Amino acid sequence: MTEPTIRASEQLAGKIIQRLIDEKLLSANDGKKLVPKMATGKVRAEDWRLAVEKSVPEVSSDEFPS
Amino acid sequence: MSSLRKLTVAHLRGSTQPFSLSFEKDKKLTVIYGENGSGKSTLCDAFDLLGNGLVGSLEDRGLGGGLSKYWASIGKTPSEISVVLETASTKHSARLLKSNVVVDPQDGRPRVQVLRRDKMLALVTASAGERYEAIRRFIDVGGIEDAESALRDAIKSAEQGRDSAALRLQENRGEIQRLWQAAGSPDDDFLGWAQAEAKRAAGEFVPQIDALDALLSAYTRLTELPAQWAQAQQQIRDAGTESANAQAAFEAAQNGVASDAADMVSVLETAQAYLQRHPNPEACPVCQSAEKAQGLSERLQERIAGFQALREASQKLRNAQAQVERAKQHGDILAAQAQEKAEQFGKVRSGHQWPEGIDVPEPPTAAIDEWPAWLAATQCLPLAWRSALAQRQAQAQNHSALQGAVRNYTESIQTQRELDVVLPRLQRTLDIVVEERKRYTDKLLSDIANEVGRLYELVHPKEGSSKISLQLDAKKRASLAINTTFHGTVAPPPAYFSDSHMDTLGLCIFLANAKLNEPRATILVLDDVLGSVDEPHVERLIDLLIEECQGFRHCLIATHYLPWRNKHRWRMLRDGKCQFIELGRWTRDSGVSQIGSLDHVDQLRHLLAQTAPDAQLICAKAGPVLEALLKFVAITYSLRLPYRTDAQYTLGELLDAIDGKLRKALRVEVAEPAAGGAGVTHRSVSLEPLLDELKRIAQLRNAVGAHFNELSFDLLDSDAVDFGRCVHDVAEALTDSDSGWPQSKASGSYWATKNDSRRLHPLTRPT
Repeated sequence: MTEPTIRASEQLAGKIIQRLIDEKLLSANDGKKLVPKMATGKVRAEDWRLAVEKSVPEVSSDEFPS
Repeated sequence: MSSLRKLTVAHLRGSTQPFSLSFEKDKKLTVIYGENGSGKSTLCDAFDLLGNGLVGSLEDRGLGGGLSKYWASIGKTPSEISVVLETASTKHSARLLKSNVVVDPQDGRPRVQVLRRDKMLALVTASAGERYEAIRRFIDVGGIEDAESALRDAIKSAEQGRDSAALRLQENRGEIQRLWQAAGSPDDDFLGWAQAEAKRAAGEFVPQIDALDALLSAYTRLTELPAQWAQAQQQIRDAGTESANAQAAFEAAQNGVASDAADMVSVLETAQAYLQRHPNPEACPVCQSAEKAQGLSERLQERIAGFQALREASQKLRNAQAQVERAKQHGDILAAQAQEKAEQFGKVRSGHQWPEGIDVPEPPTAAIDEWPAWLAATQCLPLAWRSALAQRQAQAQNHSALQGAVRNYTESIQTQRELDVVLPRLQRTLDIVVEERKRYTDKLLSDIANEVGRLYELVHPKEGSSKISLQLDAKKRASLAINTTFHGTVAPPPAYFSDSHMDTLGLCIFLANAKLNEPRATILVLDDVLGSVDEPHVERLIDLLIEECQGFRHCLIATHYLPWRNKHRWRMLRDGKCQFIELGRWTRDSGVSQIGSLDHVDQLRHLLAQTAPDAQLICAKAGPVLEALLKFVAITYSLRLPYRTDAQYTLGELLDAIDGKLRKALRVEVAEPAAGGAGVTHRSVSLEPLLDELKRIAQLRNAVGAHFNELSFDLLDSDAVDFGRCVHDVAEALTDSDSGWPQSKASGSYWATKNDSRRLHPLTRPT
């Protein structure tokens, strides 16, 4: 059995963020910033939105929607 | 973590006198054996106080709050309580300051986990919430759950944003359609029309609006002038009449005085002005006569006063003439303004390409008197201009509204598109967070449950009830259910388990939990946890505890359970890992005390070492020791013995079971420090002469048929001492006070103790 040497939330936050980065749902930089906030429950809804929006590939569209 | 050296307890609970417990080097397990009330729990409490700041043995006994008042020994005060734990490199003490436990130093404070008998069952029967609390620290991922909640909020907000964008989109389409219809539905595709219209510059209507504005202003300014002009002409006429009247009045006043009065007044007023500048002349400034210079100014005043009426008429005439002049100037100004405004109108007219339908006349001539006719002829035009202006202003407004609607429509579509991309990504993010959290906690719980199951299986092998599961209740936060599979049926343990099984399970849960929390730094204290374990399981439970304790910094087991002492006394408890301490009877005066905890072999040696050995005592002790030794040989080599349900054999039966071949082969290599102290050598001891001697003594006194505990009745005192010495030599050769009996055949060629201090040959009975 493994011994938890760091708090469970910190450990889990690290795992989750790494997976989100791997799946390109977060940039590595934003993910790194989110880990401590996530572990302490201080991530806000707008933090998630911004981080996920920033990871979306740029698509330019001047086309008038109809 | 350095190993424990000494625990000193003073005036805590049963320690009415300071009591020190020394720990043997390199032994992580300390078994404290004592009857009930001997002070075992006091020693456990000492660790509890030092590590956790409490005395757990007093809790849940209905004593209410403020338990610290009961912590001190009878007749002592809480401030006299002292617990000191020394290790190879540290020394920590605990004292009470008022009701607060003060540990010094705080750094490196020993980590202690205590399990008491009354709490064991609670680990199994506790509510799901209480059980969760016990391991909350390891599975609580509250931070992640909060982050999850924030993510859900983000998704909800994004969904609302998308719905809102869709609603706005509908509204924007409606607005565009309305504007399209207002514009006369100029195209089949109203959105295409709107896009094209919106691209037109917003200022397209501005020049026309500005021109019409300027035209109306210029025209309005023209309309004001004729009235002003007429008024100015009237003022000129009035001023002329006034001036003529003033002239007539002046002439009448002049006729009433000397013909040169006017000139005279003028001269006198000039002289008066001179005298005001030169108040005391020495001579008349006109005739230069000095004799009349005195009082000249006063005389001048008197003469001027005489011309007052003429002066007033003269002033009125001047005023009237000035008024005529001003009226004429005003008229000139109006004429200039009229010219300028007419030119401005002309510029406005020629400065813009007026669209069809807007009629703009030539400006009026400079002759203002002709303007009323011009104005009358054009008076209907401003109405048309205003209508044209209003029409263009409405067009501009609609264009602006159309641009806004198209912009909003585009933004709403864009927002919707962005959210259509972001929302699935947010949802996927949430799925991953939830999935990883569940996987993490499930894995952790599974690890704990598996460990509990593994430990439990060691004590209750193949009973079909070792499949333990721990499950978090998804509906209730901080709730942990425990289930076990009992012969294929999944149920909470209390449904099928006996008290004994529940106790074992409780201990296993405690050990599994304790192993989560830095076990290498943890002192494990098990206070009387073996009370209800069934006899068949005790051996395995003791083995389990001895084995598991090695993973912790230290383990202290307090017990009044007799098998522990028996194992110790028969050297079965020791394999070099366990220290056995036996407590004596507690009294108020002596408090907790340690008594000799010698095993039977050591006790026999002590009896033999007496200056006047007690033969009966020696024989009484040697008999059971020899029985144990011979039974060990019989079991090790599977010797033939008559079957008896009580397994009570005579000395002769056990001795004769060792046949000649085996007797000759029985040899023990006893480890001894090598010369010079480096390493060990093995001294070979043959058991044959010792066994022969034992048989000789028994035969001599016809005691071969005696049972072992009856030998003291059969042997003479002189034989008894020899018999005892011989038994002692066999026991010393065969067993080790530290590592016990040679029970391992891992070498493949002999039986050995765990520390290899004894090697018993042969491995199998010679045929």
